[in-house]
Amino acid sequence: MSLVSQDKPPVSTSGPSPLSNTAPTGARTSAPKTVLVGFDLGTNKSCMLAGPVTGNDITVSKVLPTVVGYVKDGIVDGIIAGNAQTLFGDDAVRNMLHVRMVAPVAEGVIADPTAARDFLQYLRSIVDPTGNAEIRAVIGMPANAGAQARDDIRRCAYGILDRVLMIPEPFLSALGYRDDARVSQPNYLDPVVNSLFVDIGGGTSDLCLVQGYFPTSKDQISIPFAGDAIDELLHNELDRVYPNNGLSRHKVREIKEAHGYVGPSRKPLEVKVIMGGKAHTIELGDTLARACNTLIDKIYPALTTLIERAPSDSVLTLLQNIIVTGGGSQIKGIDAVLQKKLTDDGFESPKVKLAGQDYKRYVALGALKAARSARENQWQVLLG
Amino acid sequence: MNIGGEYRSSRLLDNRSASTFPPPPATWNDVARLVRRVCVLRERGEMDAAENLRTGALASLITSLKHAADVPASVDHRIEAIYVTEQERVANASALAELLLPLLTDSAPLFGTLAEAKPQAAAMHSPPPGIPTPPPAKPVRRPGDIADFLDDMIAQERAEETDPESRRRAS
Repeated sequence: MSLVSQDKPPVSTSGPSPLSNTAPTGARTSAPKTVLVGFDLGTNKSCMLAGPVTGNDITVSKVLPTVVGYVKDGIVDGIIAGNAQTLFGDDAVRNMLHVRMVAPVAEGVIADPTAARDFLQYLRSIVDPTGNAEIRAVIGMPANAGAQARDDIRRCAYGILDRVLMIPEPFLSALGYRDDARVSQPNYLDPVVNSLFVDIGGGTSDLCLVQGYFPTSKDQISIPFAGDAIDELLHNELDRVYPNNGLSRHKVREIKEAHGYVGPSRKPLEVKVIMGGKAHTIELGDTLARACNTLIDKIYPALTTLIERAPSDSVLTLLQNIIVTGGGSQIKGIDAVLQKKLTDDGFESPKVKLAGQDYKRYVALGALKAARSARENQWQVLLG
Repeated sequence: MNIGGEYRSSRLLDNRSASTFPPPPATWNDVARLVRRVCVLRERGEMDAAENLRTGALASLITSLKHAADVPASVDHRIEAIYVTEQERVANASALAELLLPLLTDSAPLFGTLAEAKPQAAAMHSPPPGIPTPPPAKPVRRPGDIADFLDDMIAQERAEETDPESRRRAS
């Protein structure tokens, strides 16, 4: 089955077209408005930015949990707002008692096609409530995602999105992180020209050399160990030390997000939790260190591998531009620990930086920038 | 004698340099640059030069890439994709030149000397006498060339998607 065509002549070759006000609702005219979307379909959190073809405006900016909640049978009328049958993102999380929660994405790729289609349809309805616009989306993919993973996205997007481009997430992070206003400044270390991105998400940790050309497969390493795996280690440890604690995975993640750290033990680290309806204060200094330091053990060899693969005349600048992003960048001390390990191993004056509080948006922002730069013949037309 | 001595020394130096600094490995950027050059030459009607480049420098690069590749067949697929991309880019650039050059020669005083030259399509491919030939395009990307990055990505994807080994690994 042919899922995609890049050579098919475009429906409209003149770029953005005005929305026809006379078009009947739900029917496509020959000149629909075009909306560009940058999608970061994360394992736990997704981000979507949308805007018109021209200019730099962002008309929609949304970060939401990547989850679909299908309302369970027998829920009485009025419990769910509007008696909706399917909830998305935060609405699904708020009503988790009354819905069957389905994660559309696992380890960065489509895990449940039905839920993924429902999720994409919901996102489309946000950027284009009329259903009339032509939606062109750049979608972030894990580094080294295979052809099958891309086909799965195309299948899910068919009939929902009009044209797509799938681009590795670390490269999009670099594009999103780049400060376009400073690119021409002599002292600006442009991340697109020479950087190493470490994107620690929920399902995968993706590392990527970005050096002024599109990263090849040898420039990228994806490791199926990230936030979710830390949650699992932490949960197992809590279950071992405190049997029948009743803590949900969601609660364990909250603990990690609030207190997670890497490096030497920060004992005492007392955390108040509710078990069986009673408040308990538990010591988690060593537990959190063990779980989170496992991440360092996993990603550090990949980091040094990519540094060693970089051309020798670029590596000194590269070492000044190692950027940690994604949810994992919020683990306390991760930049300092990686930098110290590199220094201890003899790498020349490495500097590891955190992408900052806007880390959730960089992939989607890079995706929107890419969408605005893509040539007409680069968009993939979904053929079904 | 001296001249001969210098000649021998310089050959020795050359040989030493060659062994100390081996030629850099071929990259896909180099291939894309040469393919683009082949397409430009063909567009200009310089078929012999294009063929020489294709069977000479480009063929050598491709051979070295195939030696380095895990699956040599994937190199062919990727090169096909690069040809498609570069042919399209050169054709687009040529069409743009045909449209723009008459406008520039008619309106810009800087190009006043060109205004007398009839902007016929065949003549537009080579610069008029007196105008320096621009240097050949470098393989290094300008920071803003996101679309060029996407060309590279699409070429990689096509190579991967036509490579059964790669598909099997991915699934």
